[in-house]
Amino acid sequence: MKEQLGTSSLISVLTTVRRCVDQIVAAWHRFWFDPLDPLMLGIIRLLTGWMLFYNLLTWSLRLETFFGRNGVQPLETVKRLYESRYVFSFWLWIDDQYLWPVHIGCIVVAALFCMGAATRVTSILAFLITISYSQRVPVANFGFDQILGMMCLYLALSPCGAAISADSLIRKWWHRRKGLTQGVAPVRFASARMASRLIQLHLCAIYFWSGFSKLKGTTWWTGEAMWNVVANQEYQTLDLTWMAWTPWLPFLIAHVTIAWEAFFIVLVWNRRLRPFVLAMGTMMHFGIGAFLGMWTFGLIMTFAYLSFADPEIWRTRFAQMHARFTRRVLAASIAVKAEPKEPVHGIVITTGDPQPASLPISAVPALTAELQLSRKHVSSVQIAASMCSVLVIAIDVHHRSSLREHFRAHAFDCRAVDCGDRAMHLLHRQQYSAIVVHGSGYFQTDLLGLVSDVLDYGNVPVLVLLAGGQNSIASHFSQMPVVECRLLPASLREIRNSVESLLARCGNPVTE
Amino acid sequence: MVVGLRKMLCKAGYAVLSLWLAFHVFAVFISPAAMPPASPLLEDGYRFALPYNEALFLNHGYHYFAPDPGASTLIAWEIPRDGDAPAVGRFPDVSIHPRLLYHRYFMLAENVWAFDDETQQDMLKAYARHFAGHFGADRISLSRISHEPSSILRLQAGGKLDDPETFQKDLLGDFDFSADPDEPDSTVARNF
Repeated sequence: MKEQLGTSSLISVLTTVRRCVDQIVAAWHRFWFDPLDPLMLGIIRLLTGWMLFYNLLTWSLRLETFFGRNGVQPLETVKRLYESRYVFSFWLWIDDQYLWPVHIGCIVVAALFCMGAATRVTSILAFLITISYSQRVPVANFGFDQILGMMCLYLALSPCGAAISADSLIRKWWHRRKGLTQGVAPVRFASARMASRLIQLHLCAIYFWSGFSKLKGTTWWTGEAMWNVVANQEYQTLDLTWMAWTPWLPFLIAHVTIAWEAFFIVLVWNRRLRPFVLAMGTMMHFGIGAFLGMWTFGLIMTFAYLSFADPEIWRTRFAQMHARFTRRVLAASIAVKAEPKEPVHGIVITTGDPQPASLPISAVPALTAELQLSRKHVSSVQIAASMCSVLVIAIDVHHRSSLREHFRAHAFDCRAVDCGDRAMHLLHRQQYSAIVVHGSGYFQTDLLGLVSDVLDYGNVPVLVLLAGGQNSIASHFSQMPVVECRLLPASLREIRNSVESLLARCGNPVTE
Repeated sequence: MVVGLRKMLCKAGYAVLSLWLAFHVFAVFISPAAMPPASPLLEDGYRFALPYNEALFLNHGYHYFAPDPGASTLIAWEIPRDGDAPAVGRFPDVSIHPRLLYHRYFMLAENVWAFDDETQQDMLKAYARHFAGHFGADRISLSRISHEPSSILRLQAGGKLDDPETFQKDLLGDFDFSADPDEPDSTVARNF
């Protein structure tokens, strides 16, 4: 009996331990490898590449002075310094006569890296270039070089060329040319998550030690340290000596700086506090740039903050901004073209204003003609699409977000929901021009029910995307006049074309 | 069989990658931790990660303006000229633009003291040769200038940041390159 009890308790302990280990492993995997949209890394690459490019251009002004064999950092001395150390710098093997060709080559690589061209190669080269320049002139280094090296290292490990890059533009163009379908959802990478985490943790290490090292000194405790920084004439770019008459201010800044730096490592992981923590850091680094003249250092640190931003949210924001911008540009171009050159007598629209707005008779056909003309010049879909609202119902978040972004990118007013209930809620409040139902994840009967429910809200055209195994219910939908089916897989463009043709069929043409 | 092998390799790769990530984070954190004063344990950890940190240029302390921001260092040079006043100058010089380049010169004056004596001497000799070469001179003397920041009380009493008392000048040495085989190269170090 006792043995049985002992065995069962041992099994339960082992089960608990196993469960804990599994949870830890799963948490580790989620933390490091949960696939992530590389959008923010693309932006970080663009900004870091620009900084590297600027750094190299600045070196061009004194290339021989710093990198020449007999410059202010003599080659032999630097080589001796690195004896029996694992330091890499290609500059240690380059003779004076090749200084400029190699330097120009590096500038070209930095420019390509910044633009995101051949990023797999140029990102690694950018890292090697960064550390080679820094290690060749060890005395001339400062914080900027350390952070630039860190950023280039992690970007070299990441798919930073998958977004906001020449590579991605070329890939899109190639796909279009070959008529290949693009994935429904933006591609996510485990390596993007890993690189973002490395940048985040490295930032934590930097601030943690920067804060704690300050605690070794006395002036950070007495508050004088910040005054000593702003009163350092060699750093100063703006006169802050007025602070001598408000001494509490530099003292306060000193205390806040230490508290912020030391606790960054904890506070930044809290989602609610993160915006405040990063906003404070941005202010601090912009202050370093404005008052101490270290804009390069200040900026590169804030670029690293982008690793904390959620790419999904920003992708949606960018798509919305793009759609809004497109609509405005189109509206403006139509308005400019429709504007009459000479005012003539015409229809008077009474607005209640002292001066009534008048729309000339000649402008009415002119406006119609211009609209027709504009539709020929600009994509006809874009003009009418801005007036079309599409509701997407998709269980899978990737399908949902990609369809929404695609429609918005093509100037449709698009909302996306994950279930029928939410869709009904929206349909109750607003009328939509068309509804797209992504069938994957639905049982056939549920899908039929959902479409029927949707149709109860009016004769809204519905496009049903049928996943594999759902073909058999296509015949049911064929009996419904405003419902069209499309079998998956289908590209986003094909889906959009189906919606447009469905709208045209239902008397709400998107095209001419 | 092939699928099983592939699965095993994937697992092994995942384990290696995870171990590397753990080590990398350790290396990033240990490097600044071993800045003096540090325990022998931290120093041992630092030495363990040193080759890795050096290879990836991660061997940094991140002790910005720490432990106490103090005097800044400048280097002054003086070139004697026959029958004329000596040519004098110092760096960093605020006339250097862009600001990033100014900071490079500033670091030349600030950081050189963190290196061993031999490297310091070589670097100072290189500075001397560079400025002497710029003026086509054989002899030059260098001085180290410490510029203490003026205190709040001094400012309140009417003082300024560049009061002469806040500067302390120490002669570093006279350099004579007339018999030096490493005479300044005419193509190098000319454009200060």
